[in-house]
Amino acid sequence: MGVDEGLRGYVARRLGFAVLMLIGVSLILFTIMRLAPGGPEAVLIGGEFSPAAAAQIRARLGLDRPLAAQYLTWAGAAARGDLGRSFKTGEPVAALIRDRIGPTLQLTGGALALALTVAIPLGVLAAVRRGTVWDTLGSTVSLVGVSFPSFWLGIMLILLFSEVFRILPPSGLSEYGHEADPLSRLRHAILPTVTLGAIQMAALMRFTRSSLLETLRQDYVRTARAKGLASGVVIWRHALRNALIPVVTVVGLSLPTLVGGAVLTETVFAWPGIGRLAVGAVFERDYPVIMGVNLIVAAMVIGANLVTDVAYCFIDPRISYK
Amino acid sequence: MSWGPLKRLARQRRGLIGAAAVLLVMVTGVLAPLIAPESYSAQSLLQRLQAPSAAHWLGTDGFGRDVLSRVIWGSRVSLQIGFVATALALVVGTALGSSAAYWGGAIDNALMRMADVFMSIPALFLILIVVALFGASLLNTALVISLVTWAQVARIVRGECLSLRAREFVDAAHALGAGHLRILGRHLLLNALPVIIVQGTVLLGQTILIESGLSYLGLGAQPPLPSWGNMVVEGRQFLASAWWIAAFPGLAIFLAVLGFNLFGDGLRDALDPALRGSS
Repeated sequence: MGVDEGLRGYVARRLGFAVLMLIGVSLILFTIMRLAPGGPEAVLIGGEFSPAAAAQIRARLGLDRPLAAQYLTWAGAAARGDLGRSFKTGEPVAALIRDRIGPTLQLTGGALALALTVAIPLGVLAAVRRGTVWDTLGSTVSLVGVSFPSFWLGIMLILLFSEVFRILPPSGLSEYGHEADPLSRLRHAILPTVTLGAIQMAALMRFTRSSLLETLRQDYVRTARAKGLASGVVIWRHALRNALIPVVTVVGLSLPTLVGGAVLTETVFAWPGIGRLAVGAVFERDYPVIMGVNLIVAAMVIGANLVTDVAYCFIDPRISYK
Repeated sequence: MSWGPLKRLARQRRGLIGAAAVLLVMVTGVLAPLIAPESYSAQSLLQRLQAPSAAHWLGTDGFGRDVLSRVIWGSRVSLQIGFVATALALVVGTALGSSAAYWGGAIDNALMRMADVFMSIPALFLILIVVALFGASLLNTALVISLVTWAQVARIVRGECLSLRAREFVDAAHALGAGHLRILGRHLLLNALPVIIVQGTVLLGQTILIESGLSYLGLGAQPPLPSWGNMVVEGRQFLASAWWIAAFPGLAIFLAVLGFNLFGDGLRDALDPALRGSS
């Protein structure tokens, strides 16, 4: 079929473009890190050190070679899946990321799922009951939601649920020694997931409402109503499906915010994910870890956007890629 | 510009509440030395961790400093960084976005792909790297925040200019022999101004949020200079015994950002009646 071939060609082009974007991201990061004054030797040695000692360390880390050669060596290895070793601990960067990515995916996935389950029904309610108290309530909640600093919300939740009521743990992935206990993990996940989800929820709800309002003005919705279909059928089957198409885009576009929010949320709740790994690496000038984490995060964001665009084909038959 | 939009803004409750909040934060920031009851750095070990009272409306922190005075002074940092970063992002984003729309073709492609690359690195990651490596001065922080926010301005300005470019008055200007710069400045940008103003207002709120996050990670304003973000961090360790230290600076961030968001929404509706209530 022509559609399948068109789609295949489109995906192939997008994949090629994704590789170019990753190269762009890595070049930007590489340039920024090497332009910065100072280097990892100060952190590695600590305290006073002689220029000779610094030069020796730079030579051992390969930082004395020409910049272009350094970048090409790194990029060549990265293309084969080798992200180098941490300057600080000597551990392979890929292994560090592998250990930390699970908690981050759990946190961001849970937050997104929570945000969607609350945002879509509330957004629909606000659009359908437009101008009523529901609409006002909905838009107030969403405005308040996008105006909170997430780290502060997290701390206030800790204050309330861990300090005052003492019903939920304030930090970590699980109690020590209970890493495999699902109940313990769930209890630890509640506050961070709510914190990260709240901000996403607000933005998604605002968007669901405006998108559905737009769709409800379309001719086919009027036709469906004129045919005498029940209002619920018109809204849920005809309008919402189409209104969700732009919402899918927004989910894709909000991924960088979600991952960025995870950095703060992981810091507040001492959550062992790649956000905290990145924060630590930046303070220690651990170049390979910084490059590795950012490359993986950018790949995830770019990949998710590609999946979103391909998903359109299945949600919206009007869209085809040639 | 006519008075129409201002009158429309004045009729909206939300936009007015936003304007009032924005005004309150700005006046507080400008008049900080006059209205703060105490210095932001005056320590008093006898006055440590006191709950809110008549003497200290918002209590005192772990060094015995007056939380209210520090919240008032903190608005300066947020606003300074907010205005500088937003102005930079608006200038760069508007210049690149309108150029992309006007010239189209390869220039458009190159500029917008560059915007895509910047938008695919999570903003906080990039800011974190730059600030940690180059040092955390107020100017550095403002610079990097604009480094990650210009792309969204560019996209919106490009979209607006694309639709304006297709209008007849632009063809007419071409036919009359107007030059590129005249069409770009006088016909595209002037008409895109409402969109740019609204975007700037919303961006100010976003910038304040980003700055507070950086301060929270220890990469914003450096102690003893108070910023709302670093006050929340300092309050974190006293959460069990002195909740007010972390709570009030966070409320200040919330109030400021909510104000800019409401004001931006109100402006959008006032400047473009067709969009009223759609977002």
